Amino acid sequence: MTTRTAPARAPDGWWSGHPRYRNYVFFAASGVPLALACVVLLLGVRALGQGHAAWQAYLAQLGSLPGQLGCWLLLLGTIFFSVRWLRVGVKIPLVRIGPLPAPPAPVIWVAHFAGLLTLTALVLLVLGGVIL
Amino acid sequence: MSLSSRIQNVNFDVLRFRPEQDREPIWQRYEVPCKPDWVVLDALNYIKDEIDPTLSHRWSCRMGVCGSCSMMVNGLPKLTCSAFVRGYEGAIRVAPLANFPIVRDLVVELESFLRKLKSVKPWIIRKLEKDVQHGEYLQSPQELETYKQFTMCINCALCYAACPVFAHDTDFIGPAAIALAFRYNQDTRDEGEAERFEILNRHEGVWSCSYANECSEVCPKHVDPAAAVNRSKLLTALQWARVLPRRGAS
Repeated sequence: MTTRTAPARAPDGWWSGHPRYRNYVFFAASGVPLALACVVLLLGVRALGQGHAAWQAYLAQLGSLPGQLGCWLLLLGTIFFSVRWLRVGVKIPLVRIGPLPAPPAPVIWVAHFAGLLTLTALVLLVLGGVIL
Repeated sequence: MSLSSRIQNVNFDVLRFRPEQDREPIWQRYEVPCKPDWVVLDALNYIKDEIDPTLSHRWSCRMGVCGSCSMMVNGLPKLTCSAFVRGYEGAIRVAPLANFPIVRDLVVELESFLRKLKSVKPWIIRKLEKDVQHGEYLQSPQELETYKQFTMCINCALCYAACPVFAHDTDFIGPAAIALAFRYNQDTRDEGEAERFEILNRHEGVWSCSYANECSEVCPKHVDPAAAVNRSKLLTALQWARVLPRRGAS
């Protein structure tokens, strides 16, 4: 004979009852703006392929009020995602890989932030037309 | 009057489930005269001893070592032996660990959790055992440091109660089991990495984790299961790409 059990329950207050739960849900939701950003970029690439008129129309759409609001949403979502990633992501490389010992934590921290800053600078330089 | 003898009545809302009479869990309120130095577990033991002997809950060491008294306190996973009553305001809600089926009152079903711990082969695997006469397997303090924090896990399952992925997919192998696998994979005396990667690389393995980091937030022993899970992602990816030698492959 087996004992009847009650189904598993979600924590009280899930998903908005505690700051940590809200933080996680916002982090998960930040995937939506990131996905939208990818779609917007793909539309831009397609417009580029369709010629000058299509590209101008694409830029006009981005410059409209809904377009600008969308861009702000994308920016906020990306910043939130990046900040959270920097907070938790730096601990991933602190690992012994095969026969190699784990690198010292300060090295990982510096490399992580230096990598992010370098990539950000590269993207800004490309978008600003300084390089490429 | 000394501090320790000052009594304060505190209301506890406890989730009850008696399978022989309750269709579903119900909240029951108890008023408990608490001393200032009491933890939630002391209050539950008082209820059991003095008010309602039918209340069921697990506990053992009362010092944050055995991991038996894990419950939800005001919605967060806690060891009740470490949760001081004076740290809460108003009525305190005590419920069984989230994300696990309830057996009775505050006791949950942990069979699947224990199976998952065992599934990652949490023991030293050697391709060839050396004879005892040839001495022990030596390890430097630096090598020990790589995985030492992951040996501190007390299997309290708080990380599973906090994990939003496990809440939606109970097949997910989960933080504690992956941290345990990582502990052995990082042990220089072990050669079973490839065997464990087979388990960690499945759909319900490390790749189900969305890095909520809640497991590390709630761990009472300051283990960092989220780091273990996500470091295991890195290692399994490298293993898949054949960057790493398959040390434990037979």
